[in-house]
Amino acid sequence: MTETMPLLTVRNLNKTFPVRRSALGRATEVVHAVNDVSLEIEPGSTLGIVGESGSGKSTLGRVCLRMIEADDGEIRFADANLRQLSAAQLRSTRAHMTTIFQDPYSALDPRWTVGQIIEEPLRINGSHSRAERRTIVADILPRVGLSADAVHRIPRSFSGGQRQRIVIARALVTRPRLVFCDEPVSSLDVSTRAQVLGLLRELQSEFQLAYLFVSHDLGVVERMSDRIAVMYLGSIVEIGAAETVAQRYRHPYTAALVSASPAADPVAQRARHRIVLNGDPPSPIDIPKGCPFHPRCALAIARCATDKPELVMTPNGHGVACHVTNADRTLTGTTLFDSMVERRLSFAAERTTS
Amino acid sequence: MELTPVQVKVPSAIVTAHARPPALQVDGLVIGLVGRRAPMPVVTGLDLTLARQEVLGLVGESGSGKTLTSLAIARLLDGRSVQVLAGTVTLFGRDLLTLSEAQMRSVRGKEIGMIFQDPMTSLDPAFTIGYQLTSVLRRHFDLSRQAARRRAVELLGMVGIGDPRRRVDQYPHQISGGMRQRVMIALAISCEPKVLIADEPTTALDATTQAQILELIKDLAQTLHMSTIITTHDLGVVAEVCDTVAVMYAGQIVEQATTEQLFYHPQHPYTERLLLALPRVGVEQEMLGIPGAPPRAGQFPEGCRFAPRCGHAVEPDCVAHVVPLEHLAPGRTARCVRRPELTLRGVRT
Repeated sequence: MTETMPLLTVRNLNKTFPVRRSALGRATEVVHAVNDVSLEIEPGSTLGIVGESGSGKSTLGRVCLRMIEADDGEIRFADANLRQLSAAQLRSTRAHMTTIFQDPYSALDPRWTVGQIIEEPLRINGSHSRAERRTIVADILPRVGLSADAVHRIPRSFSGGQRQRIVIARALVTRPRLVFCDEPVSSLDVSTRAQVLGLLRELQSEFQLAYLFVSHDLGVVERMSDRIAVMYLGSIVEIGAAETVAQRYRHPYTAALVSASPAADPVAQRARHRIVLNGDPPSPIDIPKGCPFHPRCALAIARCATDKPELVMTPNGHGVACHVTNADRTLTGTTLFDSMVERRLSFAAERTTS
Repeated sequence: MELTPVQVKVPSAIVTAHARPPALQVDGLVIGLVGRRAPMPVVTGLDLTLARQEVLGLVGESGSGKTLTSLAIARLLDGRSVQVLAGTVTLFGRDLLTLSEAQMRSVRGKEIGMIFQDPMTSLDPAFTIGYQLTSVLRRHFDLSRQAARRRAVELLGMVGIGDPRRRVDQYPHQISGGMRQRVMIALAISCEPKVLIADEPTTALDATTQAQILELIKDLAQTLHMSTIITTHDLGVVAEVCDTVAVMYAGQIVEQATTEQLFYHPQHPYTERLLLALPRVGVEQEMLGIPGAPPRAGQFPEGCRFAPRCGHAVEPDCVAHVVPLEHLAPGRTARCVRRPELTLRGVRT
């Protein structure tokens, strides 16, 4: 395997938000949105981040692009140390790292024409003449599947899927190398969703784009990603090649996510056991001590409530933060799944007899 | 590849349907946008039967008319812009469309319960959860304040909210999205309706929460003997909870079947494409989108409305004439002229 230099490298990133302040303005309660996260993205590849709402996955993306400032940690983009850049340097670097937002209804100014919307990043960048901008916009439209006459129309006259194409075109005009896709299809219908995902993959190979692809839908993330990181309450609990994480997962939370995604096959769906997690995810203000997942975990042992497990990486790049499965490497994929279901069932039986 | 034989389970509800009137029957429903111009039909002649204690999935893309249909059943359409132009809606043999607004108010809640897509905008942020529940309970039942509160706590427990005694005094913003949807469900079942209509109940939720909420709806439907309609754009939701399915496209039903029949032996090309568009974890199959977009109201094609996006469409058969809904078996319909000659792919073929 040849060593390529990662396009984005993140080391020990932390981000907290104060939610309540004392009279003296000191933060008395904080949300720990990103908790000691490290990751890498290779040029032209996709890192998928999957997790529930409140897991910190969108915040992680924003911090990586310095849309919001991290508390500490290191972010390297290509050869720049992102957190050290001045505002002016950051602005020119931004052309190479752009964002596709979740909601194509609120991401587009309703009064601007599509042409104005798509060329805006170039205008801010100040690098192209008016005529050049017009040519670039005219070039990008057919590539995202919009007709040339879209330039003069306003967003209202487009459907959700078409609006997302406008958002994608705007993210690509500056020829970025990294695109942060923040739940790009979760507000779209299933049929449109597959279209937009197909388009994103075509554009990836055409423009050699790297994606940081955030979604709560494991099925979608698996389709799009080379590697997947699973986040829970601000921490990465499992990371590895997409196929490995989706099929030979070793974290109990990943097993629960897999069992929650619909199988689209009614007989298989109803025959299988599901790990329906107890309760909602705990609040990120009050992250449980030890392993953040232990209160909802069927396999938790005493140690899980006290020590936070480290993300232990195997030589082939599969990392898991779990005391139980790191001690017993046979607990993987369906084996892990079955032992969780079994534990739940015997637990429920104990409860009814006592 | 050999075909896996699929046992076709006919829900007992369908077999006995002729004996007693079904829970809900919709006949020839036409819904139109009204305003300054002539009414523009968006749902055109819809027939639907909800058998007793059945869970029916009403599936379609945005703009297919599924939400308008469910609102029309509960007579919740905003009459200034959208109206029922023709058809009947019969609930246990009683025509709802001829009822007065006052009569209808007692039908809603007590006979039809509704769950909406977005729990945040459907709950009033200015009142506690308990207040919202007790005001519904006291409108429909002769209950004292204390008794209504006791019932509210009980209902919150029924929908799986932990620590209901504390939650009952909280405001909607103090609880999570999944919990808000549980409160919405508690409201919907508070008066023990016979029919539950859930409009995209899980679209605004995470995958893990979605699984919990669907499980809850299924359990409650069973224990409270409710007949249920769930509208959704996601066939994954249907696979999870529904007994039967009606697929809508551009204001009409294009296919109706039991869930198993629909997934394994689809009879309409649109259903086939919807199945191919589903992402599945651990299944090596490309997700395929459906090219193009559904037609807008007022621009429905003359012949088959799906023809412009359909890979199987041929001229002139598919475009020349209105395509009727073909009845294949009890509870089994399809609207495709080429159906007899096509072999469509289900999820296991």
